[in-house]
Amino acid sequence: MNELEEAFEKTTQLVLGNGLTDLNEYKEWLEKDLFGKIGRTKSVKSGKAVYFPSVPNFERIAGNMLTLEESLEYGKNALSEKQVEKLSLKNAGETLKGISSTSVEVVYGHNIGIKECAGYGPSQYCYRSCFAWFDKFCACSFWPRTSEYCFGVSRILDSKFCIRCFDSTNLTRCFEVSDSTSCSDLYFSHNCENVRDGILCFNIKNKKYAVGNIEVGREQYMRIKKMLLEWVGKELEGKKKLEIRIFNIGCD
Amino acid sequence: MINNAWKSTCKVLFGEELGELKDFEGYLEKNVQKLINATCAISGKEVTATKGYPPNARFISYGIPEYEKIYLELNVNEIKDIDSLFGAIKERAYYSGNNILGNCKDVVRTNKALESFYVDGCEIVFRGKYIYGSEMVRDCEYVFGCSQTAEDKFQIMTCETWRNQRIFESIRTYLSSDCYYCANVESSQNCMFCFNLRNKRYCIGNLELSVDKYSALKKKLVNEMAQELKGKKRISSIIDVIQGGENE
Repeated sequence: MNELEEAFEKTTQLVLGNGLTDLNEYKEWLEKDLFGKIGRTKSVKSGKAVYFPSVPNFERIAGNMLTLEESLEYGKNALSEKQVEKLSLKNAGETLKGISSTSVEVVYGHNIGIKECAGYGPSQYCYRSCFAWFDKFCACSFWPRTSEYCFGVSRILDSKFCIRCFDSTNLTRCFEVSDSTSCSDLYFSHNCENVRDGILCFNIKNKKYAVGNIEVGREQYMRIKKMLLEWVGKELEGKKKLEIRIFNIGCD
Repeated sequence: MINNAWKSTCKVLFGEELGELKDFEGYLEKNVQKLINATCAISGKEVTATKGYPPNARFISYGIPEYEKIYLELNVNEIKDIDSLFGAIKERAYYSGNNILGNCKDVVRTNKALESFYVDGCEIVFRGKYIYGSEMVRDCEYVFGCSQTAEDKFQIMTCETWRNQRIFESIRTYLSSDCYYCANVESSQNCMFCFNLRNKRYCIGNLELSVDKYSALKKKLVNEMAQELKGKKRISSIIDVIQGGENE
């Protein structure tokens, strides 16, 4: 966990200009808009903790889960030939009760430092994440893939140093960004492509030093960015969350 | 086209057609959690967008040319604090829907599709063909009512699957084929009502059978499923089975 705490502090310092500590204090805010959070239940066999992606289908069977290891042993249980012959759709639920406890865990390849994750690999130092494939230093996320130093991200690909970014690919040093691709140093923006250094940009491509979709030049951009990040830092340190998110901008 | 694809998929899985795709909308669309219908704030036309926004969020259709003409200027000198920053930008915040990118054809009621053909009622489809009522689909063909599925063909109502062919009502199933009502199964073929298996063939209720016995029982069970679907246009799910009975 130390490695991940260092990664969180490093990422927040890089993206927000202010290194935040104690990741758990921010997890509620980080996980707020994920497609699915990490769910936790107890194995019906041993009572051990079982983590699963908290999507509706899996939530409904949380009361009948096993760990992956237990499930493979449990898979040796089978119906008798007589039961198989009498099996039908109508009696399936009842007939299969002795063998239908199951697991949705997936562990792929070699992993290091994984804690409270469901579906992962080969990844390193991931925490409270679902489907963390080929990742390093990711936490409180859903389906980050081939990404590193990402916190509170959902369905993102090939990205680095991102905080609360969603449904995007190839982002670097971004914060509160959704539906974007190939952008860097982008804040509170949606549906952008190839935007470098942008704040509050929506549905634009190929811009640099942009605020509200208008290129304002480096000097003005840096002034506004400094003001924005000072406010973000103050809000996060005090309240451990921000009320304004990429999903509610302009919606009072 | 997609209706024909549905009929073909039913024939592959059940040996017969079950009816028109539109009659199964209520059953097949259960796995799509994130789509909403909105109205384009500029053109007034319908926009398929992703959930998660407040009721008064404004949407536009992806790539609408009129949007670029709306805001040409911004007086940055008036931006002196956070309130003035968000206040200045507020009117420009439009969220996009109908994101259909790359080479696509016949993609309707869908948000975030890339290089896909004959897609209806879906969210996030990459390189899909004949996909209906599904979410987070990659490199698939003939997939109906599925969620988190990749490199699969001929699937109906599955969740979290990868590299399968001909699968019905199954979850967490990988590298398998001809499976019905299965969960946590990998590298297996011809399995029905099976759980937690690896490298198995011709199994029902986790019991391995001879090919002949399996075929006879499969015929009976698949026929029962087909009749249920034809009559009620829905059927118990694998989730219902794991929960121990009919819940719908």
